[in-house]
Amino acid sequence: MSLFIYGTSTNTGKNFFSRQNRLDFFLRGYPANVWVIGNNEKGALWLAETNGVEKTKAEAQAIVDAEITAAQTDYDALSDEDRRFLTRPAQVTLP
Amino acid sequence: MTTYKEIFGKYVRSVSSDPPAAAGEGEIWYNTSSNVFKSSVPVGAWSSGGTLSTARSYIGSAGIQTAALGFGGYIGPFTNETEEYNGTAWTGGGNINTSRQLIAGFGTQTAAAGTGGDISPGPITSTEEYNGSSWTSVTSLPQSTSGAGSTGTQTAGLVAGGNFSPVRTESFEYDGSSWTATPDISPAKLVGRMAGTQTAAIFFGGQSTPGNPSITANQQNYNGSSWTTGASLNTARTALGGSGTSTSALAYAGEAPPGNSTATESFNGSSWSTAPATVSTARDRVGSAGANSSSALLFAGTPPTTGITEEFTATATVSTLTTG
Repeated sequence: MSLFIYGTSTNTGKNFFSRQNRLDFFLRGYPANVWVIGNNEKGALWLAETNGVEKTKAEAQAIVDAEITAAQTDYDALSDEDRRFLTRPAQVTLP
Repeated sequence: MTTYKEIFGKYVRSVSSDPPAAAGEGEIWYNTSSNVFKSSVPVGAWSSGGTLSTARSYIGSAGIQTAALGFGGYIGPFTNETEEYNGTAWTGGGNINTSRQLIAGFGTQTAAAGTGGDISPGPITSTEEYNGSSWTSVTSLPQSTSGAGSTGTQTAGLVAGGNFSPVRTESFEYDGSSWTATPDISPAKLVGRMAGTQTAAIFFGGQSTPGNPSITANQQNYNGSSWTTGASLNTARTALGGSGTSTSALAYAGEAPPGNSTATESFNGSSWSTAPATVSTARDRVGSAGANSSSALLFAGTPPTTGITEEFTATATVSTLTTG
């Protein structure tokens, strides 16, 4: 059994994930509303209850890559003055 | 060998049912129904909060978890928008008069101050006070700076360091109407976090030059008259979140090469310890607020620029003690 479930779910703000959720399973957010979730019953239930869509790890990685590539393109189009306040987004590898 | 009674002032109680978690915090007892030793310890975790209306980075911040203030920041251009958090959702407040990022904020949601910050082409001295509905320009900071550490109240504030080039060492106290120079920090740093009061403050993390190599775990302590070197963070980081008092504080998120950190650290007045709780979305250039090491608010940040908010809460939880 894999350690994680991968999925997309839009963060709706307060109570999107609770304190108890964080104690019950691993949860980490990535760009483009991609979530890496501890692979247990409560983690799977959370993804379902937040109207999330389960993805394979490769699918989730591709979504994150596309978001970051777009952000990098935006960054590269900025003036030097605007870049002074930003860091070029770096690619992220999902666990 | 020291006994439990010598430490706690009581013998280990035998009880048939557990006391309320909050009442038993720190105590050890023997549960005669389940035949196990138990204790109540604070367990912290991050949960989601309401999302800012305007996603941004390098936002100014003040207040506590259930009454926080976020103002200014960077959204492409600089913004003048203020938002107020009530523990559930963010709502719009009065706009600051000078749009900017990297404002040093302190005080409460209804009595805050913001000073310095960055606009093109560089740092400024402008100071403004918030009364819960609108910002008023007041006495300017003697030294232009951006990304300074800050803490205290609107009538007893403390600001130190900041600025990208050169990074500043100056610190100043604010009494609600004027600024007074106080001893310099050492080393200089920017975008660290400060917690505590004007006369009992800690200044942790940050960086001493604009580049990543200088990202630091350094902490400096202020007692109202001088700065001294304090404990070090376990994770060197910059543009982090931090809040609390000089004896009960939290550090969280921030840039910690090679990436952004999800780690949370708790300060007990003498040392930092890494908490099991992690921030769900790693980020830097964040806003933060909080009263102590049991309660904090993390919001905004980058990359990508976000309005995501998370709340840290540590509450007493009954746990079974095991030996191993």
